[in-house]
Amino acid sequence: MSSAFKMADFSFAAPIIFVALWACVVLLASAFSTKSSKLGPLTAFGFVIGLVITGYFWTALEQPRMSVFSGMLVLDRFSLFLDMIFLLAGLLTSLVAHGYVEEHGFAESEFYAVIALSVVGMMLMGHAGDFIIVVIGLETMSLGVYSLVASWTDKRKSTEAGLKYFVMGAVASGFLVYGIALLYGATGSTRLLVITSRAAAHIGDPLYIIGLFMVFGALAFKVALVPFHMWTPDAYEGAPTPITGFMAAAVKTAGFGLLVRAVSTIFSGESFAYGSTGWINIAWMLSMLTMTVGNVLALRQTNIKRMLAYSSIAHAGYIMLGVIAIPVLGLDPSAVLLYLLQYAVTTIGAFGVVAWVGRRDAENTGLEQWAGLGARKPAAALAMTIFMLSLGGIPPTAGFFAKLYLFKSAMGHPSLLILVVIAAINSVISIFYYLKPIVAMYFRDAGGEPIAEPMRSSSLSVAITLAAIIVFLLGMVPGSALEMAIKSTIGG
Amino acid sequence: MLTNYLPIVVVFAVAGGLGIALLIIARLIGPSRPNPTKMQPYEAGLEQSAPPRIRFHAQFYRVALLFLVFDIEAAFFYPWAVMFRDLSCKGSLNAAGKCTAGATPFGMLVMVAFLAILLLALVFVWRRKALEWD
Repeated sequence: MSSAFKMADFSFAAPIIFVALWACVVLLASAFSTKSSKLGPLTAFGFVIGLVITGYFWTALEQPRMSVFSGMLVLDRFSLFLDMIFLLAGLLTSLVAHGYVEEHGFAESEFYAVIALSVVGMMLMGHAGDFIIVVIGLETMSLGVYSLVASWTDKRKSTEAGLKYFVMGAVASGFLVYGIALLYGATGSTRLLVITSRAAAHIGDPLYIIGLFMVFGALAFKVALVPFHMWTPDAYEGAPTPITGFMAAAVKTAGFGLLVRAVSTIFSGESFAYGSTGWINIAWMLSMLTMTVGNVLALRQTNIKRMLAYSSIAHAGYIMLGVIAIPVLGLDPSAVLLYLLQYAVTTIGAFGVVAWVGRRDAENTGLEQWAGLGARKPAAALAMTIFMLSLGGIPPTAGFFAKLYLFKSAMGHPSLLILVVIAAINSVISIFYYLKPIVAMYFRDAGGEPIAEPMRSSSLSVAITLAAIIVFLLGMVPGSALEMAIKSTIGG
Repeated sequence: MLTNYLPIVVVFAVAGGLGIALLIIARLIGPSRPNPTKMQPYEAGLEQSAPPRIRFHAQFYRVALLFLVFDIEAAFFYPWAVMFRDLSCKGSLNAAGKCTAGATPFGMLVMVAFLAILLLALVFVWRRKALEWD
């Protein structure tokens, strides 16, 4: 028994274990301090240390792929890069949440510990080498995020959003577990690589194919691909604004990370991937639908949170395009990773500004309430402008470069070229609604009394400034980040 | 194979059949003269004092939840105790159940780690006054 587990395995899982321990520290601190005034920065500090540890592992990793806990966890640069995105998202979210929670005065003290624990779940998903870990990670993440969405207990919409997300998410988890059960029934293993190696014996096996599609459907739900996106606008609008950003950034990244891992392992079988009923064909259609539906519905929104929710659906479509390109063109996942990184930072920044503009009893998420913000609060307006330009893919921001790199790397195949053209048209459409907040802030006069008066919070300002700088730097000097993403290959 | 289960099926058939038969016989030959007192739900022969559907205080759910957590803790002890010899051995056990290689603290440490996390949860609910009734 013990020969299967080595004590050394624990040291290789250090980034995950550290964040889990830090969550315990935050939980204890919240239990013993009477007011929760320092918990946000405390959590953020833990994420910074986590980033340093993960960064060290990323540079020090000698083999392309390490298998720890007898294959349960996988350690490769791909998963460590994902970890860094999660930790960065957690860092920015806890800083934004600190200001937001203080202003609105709603959260119980376990709020920050739950953020850290859901990051642990995401990291487990990224490192998963076995479906058992996939389920544990996904549930740890999801249960945390459900309760975070519903954490504003005084607000009906928050509770409603949490319940909707929970019910829909539970169905998706059910699909995932059922799919895994079918795959286990067909192949006799839950280990991703073992399932992959036995795939050849199960070509045309309905048990196997239905199992794979159930797993695919569950992941499509988590990343909100059309037609699995129905929960997104309600859950995003009702959740506390920093948590909305966290969901759009980190939960989506975790889902796509797992999808890319699946694409390089269990989805890689020729018969399952290609042909008219192969998953690539279906994913092509989902990608096209997702970006188009997301963008078209975003056009009509006047609530900024809802608009950004639909925009996040559209971005899931773009990222899906990158995911399809990986097996079709034999690419490394660098384009997807870079896109996920910039999207995570940009979207948390954008939701951070939305959180900034709200005051107690007035969240000010309507576009008309943003009129004249550019003259009164130039810094906030400038930050929002950078984030909107980045989401729209306009230079010199991170969004432009990542989108360019993603589209360019996917163009090598005729059917993907069609998808790239559709994505480019969609990007042009999306600029229209991304410009709406900018127009409202700079070119609309509030007339008389200012409607939205941003809150004062140093941690929120730090988070938004940090996000804006990262977005700007990734757009201007993307070289080192790109190099890092290219090195972050999936091992084995 | 399945014929082994035949006696059980017979028992269920006899029990179910007898119950249904008694109900039918009572319906057929018994006199039926209902009055309001007779129609009341039976409550130990006394008059009914409260509606049968009671709404429990929300506190009970919290207690039930906490009970569940610490009950599962106890449930985890059994498999751990059974496997303790394996977990504390560097190699594998021989046929007599003796450890051939050296000992390792692994088996002890996993349970200590598990209990530490649980203890943390207990401290948390205690400090947050979840164990107090009001």
